[in-house]
Amino acid sequence: MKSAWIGFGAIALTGLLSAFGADARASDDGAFEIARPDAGRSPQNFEMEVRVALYNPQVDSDPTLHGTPYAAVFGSSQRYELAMEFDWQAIRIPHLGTLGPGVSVGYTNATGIAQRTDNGLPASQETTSLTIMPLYLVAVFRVDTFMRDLHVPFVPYAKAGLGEALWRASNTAGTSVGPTGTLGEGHTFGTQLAAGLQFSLGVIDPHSAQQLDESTGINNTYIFAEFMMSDLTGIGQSHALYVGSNSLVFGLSFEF
Amino acid sequence: MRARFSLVFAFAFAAAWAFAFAPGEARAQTTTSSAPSVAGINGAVQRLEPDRVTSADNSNENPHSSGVLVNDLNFEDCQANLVYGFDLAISNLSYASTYLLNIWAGTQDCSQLANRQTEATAVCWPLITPVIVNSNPYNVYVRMEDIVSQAFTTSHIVSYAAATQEVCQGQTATGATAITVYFFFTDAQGNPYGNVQPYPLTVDLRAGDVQGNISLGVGQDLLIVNIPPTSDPDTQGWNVYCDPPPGNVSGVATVAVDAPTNNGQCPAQVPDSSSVDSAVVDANDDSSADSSVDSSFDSAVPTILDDAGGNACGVKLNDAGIPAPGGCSSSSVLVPGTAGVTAVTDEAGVTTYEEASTITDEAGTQLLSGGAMKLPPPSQYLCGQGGPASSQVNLLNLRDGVYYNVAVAAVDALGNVGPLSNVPCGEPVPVNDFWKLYYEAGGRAGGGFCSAEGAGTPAGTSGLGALMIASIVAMVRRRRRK
Repeated sequence: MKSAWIGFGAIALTGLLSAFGADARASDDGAFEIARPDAGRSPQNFEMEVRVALYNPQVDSDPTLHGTPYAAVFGSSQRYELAMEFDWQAIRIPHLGTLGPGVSVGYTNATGIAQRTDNGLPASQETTSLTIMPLYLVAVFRVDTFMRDLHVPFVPYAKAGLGEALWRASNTAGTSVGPTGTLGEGHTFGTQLAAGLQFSLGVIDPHSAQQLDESTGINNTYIFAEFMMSDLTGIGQSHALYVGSNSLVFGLSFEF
Repeated sequence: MRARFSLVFAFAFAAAWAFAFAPGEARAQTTTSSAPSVAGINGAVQRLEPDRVTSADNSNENPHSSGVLVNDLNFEDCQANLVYGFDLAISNLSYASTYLLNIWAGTQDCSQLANRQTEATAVCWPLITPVIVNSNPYNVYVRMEDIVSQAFTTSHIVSYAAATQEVCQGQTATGATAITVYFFFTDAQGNPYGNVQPYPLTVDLRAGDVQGNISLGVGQDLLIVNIPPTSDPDTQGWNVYCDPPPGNVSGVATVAVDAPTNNGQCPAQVPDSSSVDSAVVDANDDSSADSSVDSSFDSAVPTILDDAGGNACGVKLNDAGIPAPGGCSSSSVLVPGTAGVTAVTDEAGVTTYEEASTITDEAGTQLLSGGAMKLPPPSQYLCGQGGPASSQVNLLNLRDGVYYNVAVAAVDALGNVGPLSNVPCGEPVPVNDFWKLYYEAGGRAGGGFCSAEGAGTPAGTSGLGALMIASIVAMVRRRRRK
């Protein structure tokens, strides 16, 4: 529950600062200033990330379960999540970095064979799947002063906020139905924390990066690695499917 | 000068208008002044009852196969003995007693005498005996059997002879063939006069075979049909048939026991239903034995039958009380397309039918060639469909413990259903899917995306989604302000 308060707090603080930044837009000599164009560069307000995560839902970590149903069906092989994140760099803190809200939508799926209850032959050919669509809303803090002021092409960042996953358990016939008639789909709330490091590809070819900015408005292009803690264990829910994951994330991002 | 030019222009315009919009008869008269001519056709499809032609307002009008065009002719149409009814508009009717109306079918212009003169060289064949026309419009009927009768032969008859239903089996290769019906007048020597009216048709009487054997995968309340890939471009999909049909299982669950030595009781299985781990259900719904059986199969205690045959305990019996391999009884509805015929036409134009041949492909799989086309099983047995690229079709809403005979047939663009594949038998069985194991492990989540799952969680609300929307709205508003 403590982490939930961290998530709430991060989002609330970001919202407050974003509002302040919007109001202080006219007087950019204050403590905070909104993003604005640098000399010779197009305006920079947003960032978009294409993300690939090594995603292993922590279903079996639910303390109310006696057994490991997820591992029994899907095994321990690596699963992947494909996601998109969109960040608004609402506030620029001079000589430090940017702060703003970000949203993300992802998709991951695990599929296995639903074995016969009697283990007889012929073997079952029916499949069973768990499909998860993780969503989150986070405050994103990027420390880009190293790159902007010191020309070191690394940007460390951190994210904190709230997550929610829509999920669906299915089999060959469609959405699974439990023994009591409960439909195998729902949503789980939780918290979202992450920290990572971006590497600017602009240092490899600054001229091309400048041309890209002039032609498309993309200021910076990064590759990044991130460690993400998606603790989706059901904040405020009496029953929740634990579908969060502590994951390494890799991807490509664009600032524009 | 201007007035004269206007007059000439007006006259030319009027003449052009008159020519363009004048009735067909008038135009025909300008091109053929001394012979009758077929000026127009209105095609329609009607049912031909045995040995007679129905009237145009017959209640069975347009019994054409659903989903195909009126000028598409498929096996079902041929097999149903349908006819095309044409309304012909005849010009110069006063001369018609001198000339004969001809209707021929072929792949080239049948009005040309050379194309219909001798059996050896003819590429057309007659659809009626030439007649003198005495009315306008003139109604004429053409039998589909006559149209297809010579479509797949190398030589062609030049005198009309009504074809029989066997010609519907005449196509041995798959694929559509373009056949045109020609309407025209000739003199007594067969020389054409007047206009020629063509009516194009697409004829396809054969869908492809299933190229190899199908197999069945099992699941809970379902079977998965594995279909071998096809190389036949004529195949546009698959029909899957089940016997007994899903949702129509009226059979009795039976457990085979050995009767004579134990007085009809199998000690290991009687009378506790919980010890029964398999069941056999009558696959033939029309069986008299079925009508008296328990319809509540799922909850009923399986009936212990006495096979009186000295079989070992636990041997599964079919509906006839006979031990059957795998617990399946053969289907009288789904019969593999193994017994086929091939059409062979001799020099005299007589078509005979020979048994289908079996060929083996490079992979060693035996394929049927020229198997007989049959009308598909009744629609009630259709339990699944797939596209041409489908390698699997899921048969849902079946029952665990019931044995189903399953067959697959290829379907082509004109709705023909090919010969049935092999007919494997399968039994849906209970499985452990993730959700079931999760619940058995004590998990209690779920209930739907909109379910209320705890205090503080409003029903029907995806809270984060609302927050995200609000965030995006805020971004847009801010951008606009800038």
